[in-house]
Amino acid sequence: MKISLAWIKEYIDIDAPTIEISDALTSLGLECNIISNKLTFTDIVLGKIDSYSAHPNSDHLNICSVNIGNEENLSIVCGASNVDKNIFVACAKIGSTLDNGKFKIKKAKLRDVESFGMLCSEKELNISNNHEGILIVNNAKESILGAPIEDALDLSNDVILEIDLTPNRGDCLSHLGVARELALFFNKTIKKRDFSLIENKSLKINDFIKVTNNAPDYCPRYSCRMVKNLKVKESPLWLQKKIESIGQKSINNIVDAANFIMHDYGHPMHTFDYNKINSKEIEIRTAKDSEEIVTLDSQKRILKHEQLLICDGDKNIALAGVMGSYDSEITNSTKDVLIECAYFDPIKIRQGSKKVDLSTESSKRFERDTDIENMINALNNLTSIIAELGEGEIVTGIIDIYSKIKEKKLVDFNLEHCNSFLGTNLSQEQSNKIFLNLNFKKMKNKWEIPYYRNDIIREVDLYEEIARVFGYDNIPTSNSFSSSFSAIVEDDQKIKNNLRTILSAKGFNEHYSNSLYNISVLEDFNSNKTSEIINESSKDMKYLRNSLLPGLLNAISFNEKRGQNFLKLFEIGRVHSLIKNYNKEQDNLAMVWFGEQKDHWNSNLKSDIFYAKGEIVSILKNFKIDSINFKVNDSKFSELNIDIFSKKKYLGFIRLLDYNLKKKYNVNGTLIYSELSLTEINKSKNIDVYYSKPSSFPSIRRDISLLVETKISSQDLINYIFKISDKLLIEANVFDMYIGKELGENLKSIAIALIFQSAEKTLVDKDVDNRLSLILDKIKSKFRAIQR
Amino acid sequence: MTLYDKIKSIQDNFNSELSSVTDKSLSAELLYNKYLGRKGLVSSLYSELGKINNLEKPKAGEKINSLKNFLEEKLKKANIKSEKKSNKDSSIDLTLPGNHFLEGSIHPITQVMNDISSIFKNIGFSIFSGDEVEDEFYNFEALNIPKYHPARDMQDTYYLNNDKLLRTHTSASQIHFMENNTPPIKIISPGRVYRNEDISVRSYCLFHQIEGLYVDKNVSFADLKGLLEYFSKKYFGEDVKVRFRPSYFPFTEPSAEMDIYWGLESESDYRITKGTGWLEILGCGMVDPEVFKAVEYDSSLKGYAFGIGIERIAMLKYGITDIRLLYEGDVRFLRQF
Repeated sequence: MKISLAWIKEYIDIDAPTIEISDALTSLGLECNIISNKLTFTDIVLGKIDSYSAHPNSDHLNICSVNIGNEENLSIVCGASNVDKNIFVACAKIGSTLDNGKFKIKKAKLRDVESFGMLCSEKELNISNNHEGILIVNNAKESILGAPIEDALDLSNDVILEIDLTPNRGDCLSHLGVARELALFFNKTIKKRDFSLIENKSLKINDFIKVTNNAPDYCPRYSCRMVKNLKVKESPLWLQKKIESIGQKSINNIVDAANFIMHDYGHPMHTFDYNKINSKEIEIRTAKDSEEIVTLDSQKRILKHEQLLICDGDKNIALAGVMGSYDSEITNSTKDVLIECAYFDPIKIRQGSKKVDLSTESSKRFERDTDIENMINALNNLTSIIAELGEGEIVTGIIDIYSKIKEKKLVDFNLEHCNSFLGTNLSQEQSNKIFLNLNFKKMKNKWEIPYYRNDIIREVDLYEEIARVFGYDNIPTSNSFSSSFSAIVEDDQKIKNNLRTILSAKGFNEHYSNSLYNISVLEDFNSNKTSEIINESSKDMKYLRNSLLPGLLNAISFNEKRGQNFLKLFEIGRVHSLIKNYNKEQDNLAMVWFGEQKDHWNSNLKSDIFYAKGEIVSILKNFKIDSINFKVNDSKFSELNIDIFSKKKYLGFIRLLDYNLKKKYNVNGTLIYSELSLTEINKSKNIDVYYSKPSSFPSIRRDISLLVETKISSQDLINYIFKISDKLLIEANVFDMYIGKELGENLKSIAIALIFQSAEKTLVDKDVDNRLSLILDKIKSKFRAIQR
Repeated sequence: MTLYDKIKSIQDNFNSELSSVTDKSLSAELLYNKYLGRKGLVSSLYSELGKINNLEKPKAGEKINSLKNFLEEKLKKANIKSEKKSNKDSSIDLTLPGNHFLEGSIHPITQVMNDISSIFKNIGFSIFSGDEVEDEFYNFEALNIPKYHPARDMQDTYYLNNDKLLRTHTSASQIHFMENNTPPIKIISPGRVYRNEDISVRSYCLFHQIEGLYVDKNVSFADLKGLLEYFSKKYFGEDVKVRFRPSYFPFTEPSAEMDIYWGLESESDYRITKGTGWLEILGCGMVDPEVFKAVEYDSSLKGYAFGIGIERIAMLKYGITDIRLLYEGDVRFLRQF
């Protein structure tokens, strides 16, 4: 919301520097920024460069002959590169000042040539930061040469403040409201706005209009007045400037006057063209479903029963508090105006505005509640201005239907409680003074709150008033905030952070991706249903993610396009699944291995499934995951899929990105991906670690080389070897694997190193030989293996 | 040949062999084996010692020992010399880069979240993380934001097809925690929240927050100020200047925003502080009695709550001017953290 300081000064005498005013408002809870400031120069005029010539002693200076409307042109030396013939410029004469008077223009000699002034840049005038050459005034007229530059540029000498108002302070959506806050801070009194209201006794309001209120619950008070025989025309300059200074568009004298009063008192009012109100009757009622109204933005709007309407005998003339109808709008031919000033229920107005998705300056104010007490004053003031500007006659009398009396609120206040709540030590005198300055009235033990402070209802609201007026920064700072509770760090937080440390040490970069997805990626990695957003702003962000992988793959594609050919990414994040309309959330870990290292003289790393598998084992072993095992299972999501288990518990999968998904995600290099459930990893963690003593006796290694059919898996072989061996066999590692034509069709050679060790004694050859031949015998018969 | 002759000849042979070889590191080893090895020449001299008469034995033994020492000394020298020389000869270019390892990194959001969390953990706050999918009650109503309240405009909400919504703030977790625990309560709740906003340089459809909540019998606004000043000093440095100013959140009364003094040294300082030098860091306040009512707590309880936006802090801390960089996954960006 924009506030004009000149306007504020119509209410209070205040001469504090702008920055203090802005700070005061911020400290009271009205976050304030100065958006345009006073002019920082004096006596700078519009000039025109009639001609110019190069300076004899300089290669960049020019001597300009500047016409400022006098008989004689000024000769001014200027170094700007955009100097040109016949351009209009800002000309500082001898005696002009810049930078708030700190810089005074004097006659000067520049490299032996006299200069009688200066041509200014926008920065020198402090109207922008532009210092590229001098300011050139477009569309200026020869006839106003010599006029103050602020007029030629239409600069205002007003300070405009931008206030970011919180929704509880509807009372400050006006200049009066902001002035009240400043009066409170600077200890000033508010001046009442004077106006005269001369009614034409021969015109009586009851002869012109009748009002029936059929919705008193939603419209507790409705009032109106009339001005007849007026002229709709352009607003006078003062009103145009005022309206425009706070960013509003000037329309005509009637609409501008209503706008002015709304921004002045904060009470929205509506003006109808009286002659377009049929039957001269006004009815306030709630709408029926699917009624229609064409609002003055010429939109047809279909109504619902919650909405509040202003109607005449047979049509709807306004969506109450939101917008009037197109039909009853003020036009240039309007002669008689009906001025409405009402108090509407905030919730009702918000409902109405939400239903048709139309928020206006008016609805914004009604939603935040208005001042029921100031209604008649505001109505009279607007009537007076409209009559004056439109040269019309004020109809005698006012219609004021106050169906439901609104009581003033009385709120308890206990100073002791307040002090302990805020940690302050305020006296009765201090708190009384604050409340009186806020225009609260003391009523025995309670305080009576003025109508415009609709936000104050409870005792705690008074504590807030005390705090903000006393000043948050004046409230002491306690050092006893730390009490003794033991921090119970959630386990999943710990595991997440450990994982991050391990993964980043392994060269993975952590990624955070957008967790809202397009429908097209939901079935790429699992079949989990997921929740759908019903008011999405983009189709690409309509579903909650059921997998972290689409986000990671997009990131890979992004990086590949930018020349990265080898990288590993991971994300730890929330995924969703919808089970019988119930949204289940869990945290996952997803990893991708992408591409291969190129162009290194001594190493050549490649993302392949074994690299990924090994890395996963190493990561999981950090968490002492019980018996990690892999199963090669068919999957509809990838031709190459390995499921990962801890004992029988499914943790997740490793897959190779298939051709079609590579195309879909725009990835060219080899990509392995894995997604694991953090919940399951957490459950499979072995917390009770018992140490076993490392053997102090040497181990014996025996290598076996077997020829088996290619379909026999190494994992089956190893598992079988352990199954038939006793505990002296401590390791069995595949150290070579070979497939070649010379071996024969469908055959492969596997070499396994077997390590034997005892915890009790040094093994001798005999101990191992027996065991080895047993293993070989059994393998030969079980797998039809041939020893090589 | 007498034993003494043998000793003499072995020494002579050794000397000539040692001087004739060129690659000394290799020959030193060979010579060692030949002369001093387990089956070497010196060892055979010792075995011959048994054959001579007892009177001669000590003298001969001494001779053999001194030969052995002589050989050892010579070989040692030869060896040292050769080591020095072999490095000088080396054609290995040690300036070649080492093997390439990927540079991993932890996301700036994680880092900021962890740094902030650990400050609060150290003074007794527990961590509680809630769900992202909430309903109207937890996200709004229990937090004193009834339907058709203008405060709902402060947060554009994503609604889901099953009468649920995506939480717009981590404050929703407060309610869950209070429903299931009895005071005193001292928690922080980090997590992802969503706002139905267009993606731009300054806003994204989601971001991260850390919510804090303290509920006990005697809690004051001064305590809240003290806590947050402590946090600011720990996070931004001992010299940080903070200010509190009134604000409005439906679930706290009084409500405040805390700013830190950022300064006005550069053009960008002007931009990010809107020319005031002050920068908004977090929102906070005393828990509104309506919130306690919603979770059926005794009205005599008091508490404070605060919420910190992680992205905002991360952007300030690292000078990031485009929020989208945080979610793009550009490794050239990620590897800087």
